[in-house]
Amino acid sequence: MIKILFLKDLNLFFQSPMGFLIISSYWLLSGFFFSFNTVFVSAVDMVSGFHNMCILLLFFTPIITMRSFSEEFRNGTLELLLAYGVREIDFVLAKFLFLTCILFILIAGSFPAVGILLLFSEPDLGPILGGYLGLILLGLSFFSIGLLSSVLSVFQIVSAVIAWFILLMLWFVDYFSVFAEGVSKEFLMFISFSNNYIDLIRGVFDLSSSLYFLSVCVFSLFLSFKFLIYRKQYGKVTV
Amino acid sequence: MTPALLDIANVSKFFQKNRILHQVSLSVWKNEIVGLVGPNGVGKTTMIRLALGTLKPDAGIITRFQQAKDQKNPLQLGYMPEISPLFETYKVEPYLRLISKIKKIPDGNDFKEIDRIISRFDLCDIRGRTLGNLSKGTKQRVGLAQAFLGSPDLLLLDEPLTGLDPIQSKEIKDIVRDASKKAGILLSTHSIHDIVTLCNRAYLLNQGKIFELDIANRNEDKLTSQIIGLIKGRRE
Repeated sequence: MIKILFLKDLNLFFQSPMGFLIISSYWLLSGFFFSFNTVFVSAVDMVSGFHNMCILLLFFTPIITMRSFSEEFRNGTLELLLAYGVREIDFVLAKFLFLTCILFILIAGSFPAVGILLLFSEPDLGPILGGYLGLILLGLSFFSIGLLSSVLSVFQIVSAVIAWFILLMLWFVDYFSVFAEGVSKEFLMFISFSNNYIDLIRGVFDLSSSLYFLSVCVFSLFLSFKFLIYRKQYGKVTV
Repeated sequence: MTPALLDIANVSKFFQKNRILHQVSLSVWKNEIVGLVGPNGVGKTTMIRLALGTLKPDAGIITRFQQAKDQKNPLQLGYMPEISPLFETYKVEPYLRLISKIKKIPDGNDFKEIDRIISRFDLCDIRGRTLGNLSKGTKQRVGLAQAFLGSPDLLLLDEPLTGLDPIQSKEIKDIVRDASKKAGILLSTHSIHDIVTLCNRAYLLNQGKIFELDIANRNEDKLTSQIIGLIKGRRE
């Protein structure tokens, strides 16, 4: 069932021009920033490229994820498929699988940049591969939060605003650490996306950061599933 | 006696503190069309959602397909909500193929079944058209087509004739009548005419309570008076 739902989401994404527009815009912008760094800053690594891709992903995530559940609520298709025996967990996993696939497509747009680096210089491949791992973990966390936001509203734009709010909060939360001390300061630093991703995109494998991003994914997916179950009990509980 | 396809027993449902349904009971057997009428916002759609299992009751028991326990092939359900549940960028035939997969219609039979449904609902000319570009009435027909896919044993239809022109409406009524030869159907409607011409039994839902209506004489005026009497009686 997950495979059927995954293919349905993939079809829906690429059947509308919006899917191609989103992907081509992301590729174009990340390519532009790479070219800018290579030509004007003479950077021969991918660190600044990965950094720009993360920032772009922060803004693209709500646009990609906002329709995941919101549209299904509005069209009544979620209820239809649930009535035909699809389980809530299948829905959540299929949508996450679809978003993972979109993330890989977005990231694949940077492969020519790596090709150019390999062609004209001798970059260290270890940090590049490590950086891709960091980007994937961060992207999966972004998308899982976007998916959760989409469960919370029947309106796409509301879902997008919720996602942006949560993502920006988690990105900048370490800024508030100057007002905190002791455990609360450490906690704010620990949950900050910008604090956790920085080593990963430099190619330094950090187990605690990796586990943190994976935990964010699992927790967001679990909450999405729970909200769907909650709707079953209480009817429409979305914003 | 064969058990009911759908048995709703003493079901209550609250939304926050509002009581929508209070100890409502209703059954649907094979070969019958059961009508559900009532004013707007009275809980007809809630009742259908409860019957579907997409909403949980706060009290009472809902049993579907009791006889399925003894059968090898699970019984099929068909559902048509008030608004056609369509993936707007899909084309008609791929949409029906997707629903056939979701309904687990066995491979091999699915193409034959989709062709049958397409011709039954007169969708041959638009099978390659995108759903989002269709007129409201045509979307309604596609929505109904997906509900009838796989010859379901129980059909739950929430105001299925809304948005159809008189000719389409008559055709769909014929299809619903035909389907009732093999299935049980619960049909929510606002039309007294539909109740009189289509249903074997009918219920009025009002202020959380359910009342069985007398439709034996098939007289629209008498049925209207009966419904008005029940609604006013409850208000007074």
